[in-house]
Amino acid sequence: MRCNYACESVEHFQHRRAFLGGVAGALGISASVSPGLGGFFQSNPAIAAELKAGGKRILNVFLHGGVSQLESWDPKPNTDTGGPFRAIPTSVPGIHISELLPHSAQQMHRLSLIRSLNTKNSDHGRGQIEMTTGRKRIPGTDYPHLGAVVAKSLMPDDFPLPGHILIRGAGNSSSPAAYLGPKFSSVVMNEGKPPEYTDRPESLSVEADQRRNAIRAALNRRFANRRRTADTDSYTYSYDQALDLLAARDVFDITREPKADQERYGVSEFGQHCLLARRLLEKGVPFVQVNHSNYDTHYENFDFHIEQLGEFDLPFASLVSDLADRGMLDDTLICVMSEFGRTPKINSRYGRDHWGTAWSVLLGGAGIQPGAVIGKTNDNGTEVVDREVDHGHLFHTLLQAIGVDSAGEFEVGGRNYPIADPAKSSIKELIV
Amino acid sequence: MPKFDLHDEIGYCVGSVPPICRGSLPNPTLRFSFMLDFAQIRRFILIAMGLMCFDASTGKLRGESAERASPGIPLYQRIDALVEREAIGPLAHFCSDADFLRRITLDLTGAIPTAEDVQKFLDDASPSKRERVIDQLVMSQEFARHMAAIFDVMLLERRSDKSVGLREWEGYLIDSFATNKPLDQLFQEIVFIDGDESTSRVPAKFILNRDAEPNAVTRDVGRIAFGMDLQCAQCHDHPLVKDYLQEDYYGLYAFWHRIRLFTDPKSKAIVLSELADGEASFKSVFTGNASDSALPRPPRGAALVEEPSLAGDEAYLVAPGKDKPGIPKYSRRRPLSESLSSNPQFRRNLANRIWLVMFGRGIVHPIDLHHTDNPPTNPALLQLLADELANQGFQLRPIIRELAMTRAYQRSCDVPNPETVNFLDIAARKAQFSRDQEQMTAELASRASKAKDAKAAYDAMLRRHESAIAKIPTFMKKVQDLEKKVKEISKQTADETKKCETMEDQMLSVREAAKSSVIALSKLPNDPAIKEVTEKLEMRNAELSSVFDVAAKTRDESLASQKAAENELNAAQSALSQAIREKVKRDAILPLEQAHLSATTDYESAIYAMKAIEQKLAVCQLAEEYASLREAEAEKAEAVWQSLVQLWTNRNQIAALKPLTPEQLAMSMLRATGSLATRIDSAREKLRKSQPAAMKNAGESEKAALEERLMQGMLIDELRGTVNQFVGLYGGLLGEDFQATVNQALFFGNGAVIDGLLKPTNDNLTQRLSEMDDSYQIADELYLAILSRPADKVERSEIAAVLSSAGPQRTNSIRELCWALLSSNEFRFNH
Repeated sequence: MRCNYACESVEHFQHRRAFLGGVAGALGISASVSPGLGGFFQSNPAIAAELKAGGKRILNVFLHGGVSQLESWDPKPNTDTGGPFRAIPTSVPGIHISELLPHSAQQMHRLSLIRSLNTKNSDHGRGQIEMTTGRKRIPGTDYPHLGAVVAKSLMPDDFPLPGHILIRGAGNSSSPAAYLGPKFSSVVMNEGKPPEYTDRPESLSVEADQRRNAIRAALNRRFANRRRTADTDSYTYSYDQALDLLAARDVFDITREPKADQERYGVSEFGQHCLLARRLLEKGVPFVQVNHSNYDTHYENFDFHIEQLGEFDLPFASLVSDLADRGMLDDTLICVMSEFGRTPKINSRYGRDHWGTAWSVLLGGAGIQPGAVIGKTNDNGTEVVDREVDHGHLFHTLLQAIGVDSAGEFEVGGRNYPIADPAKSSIKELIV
Repeated sequence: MPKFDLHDEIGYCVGSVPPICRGSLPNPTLRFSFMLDFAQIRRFILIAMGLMCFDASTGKLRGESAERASPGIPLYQRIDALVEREAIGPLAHFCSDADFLRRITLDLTGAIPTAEDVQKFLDDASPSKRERVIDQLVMSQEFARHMAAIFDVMLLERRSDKSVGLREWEGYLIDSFATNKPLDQLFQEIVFIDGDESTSRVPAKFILNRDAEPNAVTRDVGRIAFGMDLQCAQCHDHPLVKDYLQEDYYGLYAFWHRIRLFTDPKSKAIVLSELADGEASFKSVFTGNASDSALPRPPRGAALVEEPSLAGDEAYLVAPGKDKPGIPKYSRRRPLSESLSSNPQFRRNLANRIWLVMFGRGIVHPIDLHHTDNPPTNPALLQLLADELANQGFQLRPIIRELAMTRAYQRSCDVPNPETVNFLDIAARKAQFSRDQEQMTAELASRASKAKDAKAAYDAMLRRHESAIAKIPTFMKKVQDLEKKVKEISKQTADETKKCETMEDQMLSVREAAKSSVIALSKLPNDPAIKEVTEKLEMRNAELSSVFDVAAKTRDESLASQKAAENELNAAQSALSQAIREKVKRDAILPLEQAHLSATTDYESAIYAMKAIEQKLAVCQLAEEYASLREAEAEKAEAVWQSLVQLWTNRNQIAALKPLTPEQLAMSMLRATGSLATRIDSAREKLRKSQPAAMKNAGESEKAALEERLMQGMLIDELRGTVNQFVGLYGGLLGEDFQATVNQALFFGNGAVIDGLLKPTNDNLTQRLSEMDDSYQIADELYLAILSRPADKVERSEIAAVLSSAGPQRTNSIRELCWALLSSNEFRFNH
């Protein structure tokens, strides 16, 4: 269990060297191909291979404000708490969900439900943090967001695109990487625009950029004769990566998707974001989160859910179906979460309030048993009666499903951090 | 000063030592106690040369106390002696003058030097020029600003809050460093400062910034003041660090348990509130042991066993209420604050952090994991620095100056040529280390058992004390309740007595009147008026008597219950005194505590000595491995070589490459591109316009220095926008791993900030270069301004080639060159 902190073991270093070697190789090849200053940089062939190899990925859809489980995944029609909507059959016999989600219902055979979340919390900020970090919020401690953990675990060293992308409609402006470091914190895409700094200034032509980068590379080669470390290599490499990313920046542009697809996903912001998510996942981005807002329905819960879920349903179902058609669902894990659910009790303003005691999340794709329902709430949804789980279990499950040993540890800066809450474990029966 | 070359003694240094850092006296304002006696130096070197191993005749680790008892020799020489004693393999040459000037200017002022300063330094033939620059920079106001920036990041860790304004906080830090406030005092003020809100509010930012949340504050005080991250010990004994116990966490927590954040309902100002009572108790989530209480006790420090016992409103200067924060008469933060200076772990942590600032890596690293499984690379060195820091009154400037003066600091970062490494010598030393290891083993076991026994004795005494004091709050509460009860009953009795007296008085008057009336009636028996009066008076008399009897009875009952309550109170008071008497006296605990702390320290020193030998053996083994692989397996050998270089760097035999902090990077970018001077002018202009009160009140003699100091605060403000852009992307805290991200590179390549700096304007770098004709001159200016060194021959001709092929695009070409130099490793790292 104990770690030899002072160790600079060869194995440890060799791991880093493997990365350095790769970089050096790529630079070496380029240098020999084009000895002149112009056109020094060429894209790294290893990257294309990596993209094709297609590692596992997670798509997390976060419904901000707290979606009502009763109007979505765990309807209780004809009860005192059930509200006005019917439950409809899905593509899996026996599973019913709310009639507000007719398209998603048709994808149910690819998805699974956990209906027994008890997260013991009804605070937005805390819910957002706990659901996405899988830990209880403790003062004085920051944990990395799921996206940072996934990027750290799955992103190849030479991957040119960001490993953790947040497509933001609302919610926090970024997702923290905490002790994993800035490399794994979210790159944010707002209002359909590409991430910051991915446009060259007008005064800078591609050729000029390549010229100056070639001079930079030459300077770095010379400095490497004095001293070369993992740090200098990774700094050098970050610029090469930036050039690769600029070359691949079309990935952020959904107008490159076929017109028919753009129409199918619809003109809503969420629809466009789902299409963008598909594009990013196709390019191998290990973690994409799409935020959808706003579900905080203290007033007029039912009208608002008609509207919000009406916007959610078709694009989301299209995305699930597209990923399946493209054979990507085997490698892509989908999760639809929220900071909490909503009270079974309907308040005097036809609203439902915050409720973490008995609610649901949706999972599907990579590593997840399709068409399953885990856990159960009682007849009118006021408590969990079977297989109670929380954010800690969910976090383990998401990671296990994509092949990350969630019981393991990260070693960062000479110290070890458990990847997920050591007091919790995955929902084994849900994992294939 | 006699010439004396340590390398002659050590005998395995590669390369020669240039004649600097020797001979001349430092600036008198910074002078330590210098005694320049050759014999003494030689004796010290010989002591230091002795290996850190156990000497059976003295029962001491050899070298354990010898270095500390060597005054007279400048600290920097003692540091070098210890570094070089532990060195195995090559010691790198002194770095070049250009590298030195860039390194020291970055480390002491937070930016690269100007091109003019570089040129001047290179042209200076004086052998003592390095020392002169060190003295000049360490005394500068820029030093105060740069240290303020470093300590800001160290203390607040780039969190934001709304409690105390940034400018006030930065001003507080700059003033602290400018006025040579001892570092222990700075930490003391952060923990507790006597006085009203106007004095305590700004340093309290450390606490307020963490929402005055006791756990958050406990964790960060543990980390930042003591170098111990006890976080995992909050819920159970630390799973990975056997030295960190839950009782350690709660010992520190007990000092903070009573603090709260308070928001003034009217002004919305956020201030600290503190309660006068409340004890910390804890339960392990693993063992579920019944709640243990914890005495306030800082890491490696004395438990707080005697505290004033004040109760109720008595305990407060200002009792906490809805509209005001609580201010207790006695705050536990005060003894914690007062204990810092003498706390050995506080000293070690502070010394280690200062070392990190200069060398890029702690002697203990990671810096907030001081424990026996994470040993210092050089235990004697850390101890020396911790002791000297305290001896010198926790003054930052003299310590930094001495560190800068060392050969260790001034070494080159260049990788040594493997051909020059004496692998045979390294192999030969292995046998000695193995023997040292054997010798240490028995000593280690004996010290372990002594430490264990001493802890058991101390713990037993503490338990006794704790069980005694556990009763006190209940007894105290009972006394308070009874006092209240007695007071209430006494008041009641007094009221009733008074009532009785009044009644009696009335009754007596009526009785007198009745008596007189009866006499009158006997004299005038048929007078109907007198008869009526007499009857009325007698009736009234009878009524009053019976009412009085009832009141008198009530009064007597009250008196009885008052008596009973008083007896009860007496009994409770004597029970309380009894319990207080049973408390173990501080005097009884003290010797056991000291024995425990010193046995622990002895044991830890032995562990560290042992691990230092193990580390040296590991270097030998790795060197051996490399020597054997060198011929046959080049690729494997290369990996081993890199590990060796890393180890040598960690052991200060080769200088480390230190990534610039975002603040250093931003300021250096500004300086290199020629915009910093303009920004400084603008800050100065703003300062003069604003005419701060401090300037008006200052005496003529202080004015210049004060303006310079205020200017540094203004400059931070002036550069905040630019610096924050870098901080947002490059982030990073003291001692954290380096990370390069694609976002940084995109910002650097496409962002408006850097593009703006490279636009030719106002005599900035690109403007000046564009106006030059001679390409060699351009090359020199370019390299001096950005890389703080002249271009070499090859570089000059490269620049010439680039410029000549650019034709009309010359200005663009210059911009491309500037960008390339700024984005190079040579610029990104402090080398």
